[in-house]
Amino acid sequence: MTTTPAIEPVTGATLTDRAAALTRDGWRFAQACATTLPDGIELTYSFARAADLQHLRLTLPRQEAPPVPSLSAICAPAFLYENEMHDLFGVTFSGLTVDYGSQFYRTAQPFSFAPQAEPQS
Amino acid sequence: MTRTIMPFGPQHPVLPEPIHLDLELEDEIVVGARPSIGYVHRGLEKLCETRDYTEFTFVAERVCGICSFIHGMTYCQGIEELLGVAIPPRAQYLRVVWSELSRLHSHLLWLGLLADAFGFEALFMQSWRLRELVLDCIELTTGGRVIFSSACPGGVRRDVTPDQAAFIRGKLTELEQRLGEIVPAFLNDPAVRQRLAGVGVITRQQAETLGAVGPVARASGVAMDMRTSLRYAAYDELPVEPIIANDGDCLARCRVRIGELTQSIGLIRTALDRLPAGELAVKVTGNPTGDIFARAEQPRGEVIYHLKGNGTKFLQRFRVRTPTFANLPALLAMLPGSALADVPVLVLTIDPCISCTER
Repeated sequence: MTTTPAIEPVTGATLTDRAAALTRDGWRFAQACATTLPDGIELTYSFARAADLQHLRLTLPRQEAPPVPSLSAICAPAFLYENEMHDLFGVTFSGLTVDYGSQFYRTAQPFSFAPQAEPQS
Repeated sequence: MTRTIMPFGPQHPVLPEPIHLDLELEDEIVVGARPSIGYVHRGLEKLCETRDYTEFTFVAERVCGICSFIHGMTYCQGIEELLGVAIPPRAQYLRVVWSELSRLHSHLLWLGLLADAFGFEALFMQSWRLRELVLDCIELTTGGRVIFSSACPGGVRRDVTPDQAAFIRGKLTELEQRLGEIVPAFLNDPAVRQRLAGVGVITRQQAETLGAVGPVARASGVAMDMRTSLRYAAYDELPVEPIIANDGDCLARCRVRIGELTQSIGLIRTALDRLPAGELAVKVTGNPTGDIFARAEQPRGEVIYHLKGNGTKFLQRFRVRTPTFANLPALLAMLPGSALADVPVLVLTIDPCISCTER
C-alpha cells in the first residue's frame, strides 16, 4: 500500500512547531531521511496516522548549512534518525537529546552519503 | 559497586546478526546501552543510482535475507504507484501467499533463535525443523528457499498451480499439527517462563512514545498492523486482525508471534481457496517521477520505502526504514535494569535484522 505524499515545506524556524502540532493531533513519528540533491540536502520527516502519511520537508544548502533543530525532544525516536542523518550525510542538529557523536553509524568512509563525499581509492 | 563498559557484539555466540551494543554495567546489572551499527553496511541504497528501477527489484529483495519477498513487493508497490499501474487480482493474492509464507518461516526461525538464546537446544532444532516445511512450499513454487524473486513491478513472475496449492495445504496441515507439540513448551514450560515472563517489559505508553512497530508494539497492546491499516495486496478481501497481547514482556512478544503463525496459516489457506483466475502481471512502461512512500507489514513490523523518481530509469533516492531500526529505541529502553544474562533474550525478542537495518 502506498500513499501519495502530502509534503509540506518547512524551514528551520518552523520545523519543530509543525512537528509538535502534528504530534498533538495524534500523528505518530514514522521516519526521517535525507536525500542528496544537486544543490543541497533534503530532509523529509514522516508522520503516520492509520493509513495516512504526512511529511515535513526541509531543504538545506550544500555548503555551510546551519544546524537543524532536533525533533528528539518532541518525538523521542527521532534521535536515532538524526544520528543516522548526521553520520551518513553530515547534517548537524541542535538540541539532540541523545548524540552518539558520529559513533552510531560506523562506516569506513565518514559521511558517505554527503554531497562532497568522494569514492574511496 | 563496579561500573564497566562491556562490548556486546557485533560478533557474539547468541547474536544471529551483528548488532553492536556497548553495555554499561554495575556489577551484573545493565544501567545503560549505546548502539552502533555499520558492521554490515552494504550501501544498497546508493545502488539505485546505477541499477534501473526494474533491475533494482532484485537489490531491494536483498535488503534482507529473511523477509526478502516483502521487501521486493513493497518496492514494487511503490514503483507501481509512481507509474499509476494496477496489478491483476491473481497477483494480489499470490503476493499475500508468499508474504505469509515468508512470515511463517521468519517467525519459526525466530522461535528457534529464541530457544537457542535461553539454552533450550531441542526446542531450537524442532522450530527450525518445522521451518523446513514452509521452505519446501517456497522452493516448490519459486525455485528458491529464502530469496526467490517472485515480485516484479506490475505483478508477480510466477504462478501457483493447483497441484502446488494442494502441496502447500498438506504442508500447512502438517505444520499446524506439529506446532501443537512445541507451542506449549514456549508458553507453559516453567523454565522457559522463568526466562521470559516479566522480563524486558515495555508498557503500551512506552511502545507508542518510542515508535515501536510490529510484534514488539502489539505485545504491549498497540493494535497496529499495516495489513489491517492499509489493506494492501489482497488483504482488503481477507480476514486479518492484529494479534495483540498486553503484558509487554518477552513472553508476550513470543505469544504474539505464535498467534501470528496460526493467523498466517489461515490466511494462506483462504488466499489459495479464493485465488482468482487471470494474468500474473501487467506491462510496466515509463520512468518514475516524484516521491512515494510505500508501507507494508513485515514479520518484524512496519517497513517504509521512500522512492524518489526523477523521470529517468534510475531512481534519485531509494530509502528503506526497516522495522528493526524503529524498534531500537524500545530495545534501548528495556535494557537498563536488566541482568546481563537476560540481554541476549531481550535483544532476540525484538527479532533484530541488522542487515536490513544497516542496508
